[in-house]
Amino acid sequence: MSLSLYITRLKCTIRNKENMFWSYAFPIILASCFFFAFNNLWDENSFETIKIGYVSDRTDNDPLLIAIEEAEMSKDVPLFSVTKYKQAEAEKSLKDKEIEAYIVGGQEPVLYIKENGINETIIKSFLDNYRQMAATVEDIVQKNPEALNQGLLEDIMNFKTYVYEEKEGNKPDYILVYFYALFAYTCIFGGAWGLNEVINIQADMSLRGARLNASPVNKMKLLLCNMFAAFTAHSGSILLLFFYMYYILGIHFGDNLGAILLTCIVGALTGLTQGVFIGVIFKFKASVKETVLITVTMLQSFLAGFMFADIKYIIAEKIPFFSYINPVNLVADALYSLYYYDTYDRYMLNIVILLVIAVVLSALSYLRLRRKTYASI
Amino acid sequence: MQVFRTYFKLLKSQLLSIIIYAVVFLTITIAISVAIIGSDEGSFQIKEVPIAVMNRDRENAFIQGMLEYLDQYVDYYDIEDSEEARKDALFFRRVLYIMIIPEGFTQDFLAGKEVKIQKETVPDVAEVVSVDNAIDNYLNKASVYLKYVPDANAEDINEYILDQLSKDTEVTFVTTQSKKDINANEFNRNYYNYLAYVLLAVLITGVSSVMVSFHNVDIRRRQNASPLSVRSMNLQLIFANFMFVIVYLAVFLVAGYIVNPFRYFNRHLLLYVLNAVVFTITALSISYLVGITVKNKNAVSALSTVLSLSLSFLSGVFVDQQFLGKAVQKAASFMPTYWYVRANNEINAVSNLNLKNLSNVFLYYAIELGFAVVIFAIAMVVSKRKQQIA
Repeated sequence: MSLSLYITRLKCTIRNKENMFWSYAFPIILASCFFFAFNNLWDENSFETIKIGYVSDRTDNDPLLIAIEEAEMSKDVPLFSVTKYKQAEAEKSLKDKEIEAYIVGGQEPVLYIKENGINETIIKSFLDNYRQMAATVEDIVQKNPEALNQGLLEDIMNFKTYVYEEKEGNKPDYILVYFYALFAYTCIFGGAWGLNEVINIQADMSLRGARLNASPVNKMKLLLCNMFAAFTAHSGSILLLFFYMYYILGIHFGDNLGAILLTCIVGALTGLTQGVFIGVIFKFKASVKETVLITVTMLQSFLAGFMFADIKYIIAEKIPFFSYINPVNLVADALYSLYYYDTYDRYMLNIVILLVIAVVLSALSYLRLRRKTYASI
Repeated sequence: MQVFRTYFKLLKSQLLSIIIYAVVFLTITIAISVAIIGSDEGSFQIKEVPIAVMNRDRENAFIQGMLEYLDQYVDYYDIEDSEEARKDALFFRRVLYIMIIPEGFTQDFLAGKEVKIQKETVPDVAEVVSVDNAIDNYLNKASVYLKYVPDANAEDINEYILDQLSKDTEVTFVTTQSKKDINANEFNRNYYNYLAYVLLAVLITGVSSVMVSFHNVDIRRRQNASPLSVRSMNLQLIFANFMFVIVYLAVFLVAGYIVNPFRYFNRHLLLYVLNAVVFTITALSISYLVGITVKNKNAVSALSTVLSLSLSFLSGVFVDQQFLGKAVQKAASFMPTYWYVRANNEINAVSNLNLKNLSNVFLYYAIELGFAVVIFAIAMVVSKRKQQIA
């Protein structure tokens, strides 16, 4: 009996084209959009080399120009990309934002910039250092006149790097915030399925609900079967998205597949219960409830960095409480913890809070829904 | 004017989502723009990078001196020396750089041995390069002093290096525009870029869902049988469409002026507005085409979201165009949004407005209009077909 209720409901659910689009196709389209738009941001070379102009009063062997051209930010990645200009051209290029700054070489080079920023700081400190190195040489020669013969200039030219980074573990990745937020959004937006189910079963919400109330089947049993059908359909969309992101787009998700799947399931559950809760607790028309659900989910997603990743950091910093009650953020954060941390503390915290939210919302919805009878609709 | 009035009655059913779009759009845009735009003065300031130092060596004069030198480039933050705390700090960007000085560093360095400082960083940010350079600069100088002035001790070396700090480079600010101009333009560029998304989403939602109703086969058959001429009906529809679009655009133009924290009227703004007007015509053409090809309203909301998001993402509405891959840019040049965004960026880039500098901007306007013409033409063909069916 329950099985046939479940199967029938599953068929109904899958035939709801609109819901199917929003939960199956839409996240995949959006993931592709993110992928194409952010693809280049991953490639660090493409945006870190600083474009500058150089105005030289000499035609050949300008030592400063050579030093600028040879500067590297990491192995084989140049720090600057230099174009030689006449002063007037350089000024025009700077104004047209083709270059970030230009340098007029000579005994005392002058830096021309348009705004303050990290790139300007880097250029300035490079030039300062260049001049200070010259001063160092002078100073040393004064203190030890023999130095030049002992190979001082070679040592000066032989600029060493003293810092290194260990390449173990995953690094914090800004772009992943978007993908995880999208994934979390898909989980929580499953609320639409949950909302559908309770609208379908409340007699004052839909005609089918009225019909069901007159039928001899136990309401809670029916609701459970229906919810299970919705959960099946919803989990399907999440798994599809996961496979698309993981195998086709190649987004990093950490190595613990089991934990990822647990996140999917818990996220799907919490999403459903949020939809149920909104469907039960408010006394509006069905269409208004849908709008409320969309607005709430979108707001949660926004706060989790879906539209602008910095928001996630700002919320975590300024109002951390918010990030712990926001299910979208919790799902996204659980994924991020799996990817980023070696320990599972933070991941477990997220999952536990999600489960608590799911249980609390379900309990509240249950209290509102049980034993409801209608004298007149 | 029955058709005209009916149009707005139908539009009313979409009013809620149109208003939500507008409110959400304005809130997010303002939040982002205010966060992005800095308010720096017209003099050079070093941008200090937040870092944390884990000194596992003992406290000593040499490290003190190095940190003093670095201080001009960085801001120090205290963070507990544990894996968890360090990862958290980088994750939430409390610091962008963690510098780990290993045990025995000073002794080895002063003895001329090979030494390394370990760093943990937030990837892909230029700030890291700035700190790397500062550390390398200091240590390179120190090692040269160490080698050639052998009787100098750690304090002396610090003193020598810090003494040279006075030798810094002269910096000149090049501006023809006032700071206020630049900030206002930057805000407007962001605002008008994001506007592309909202215009598309709302126009498709509004215009298309109304047009779907009017193009229902039964409704058209009824219309054909009525005394109202097709010409009059079409004219009223066109008029109503324009009315809606103009009012909606006007709301955003006014809002864009009011929410701009630099509230400033300049010639750049005029060009942005013109671009928005041109683009609105293109967006209208897209909405019209969607409205007459799609059969039901649920499909309209799906298409509206998909079209507006994908056009926006691929054309650099949300992410700066320079960061888009080459292939994506090529593909995007077949989309009107791409040229709209490009025009906005160009307007922002040109500081001296004259006909020669603006020729590109006008070219982009023309391309957007070209798209509008082509799409309207397609719509006409589709519409003719449909008339034959009805």
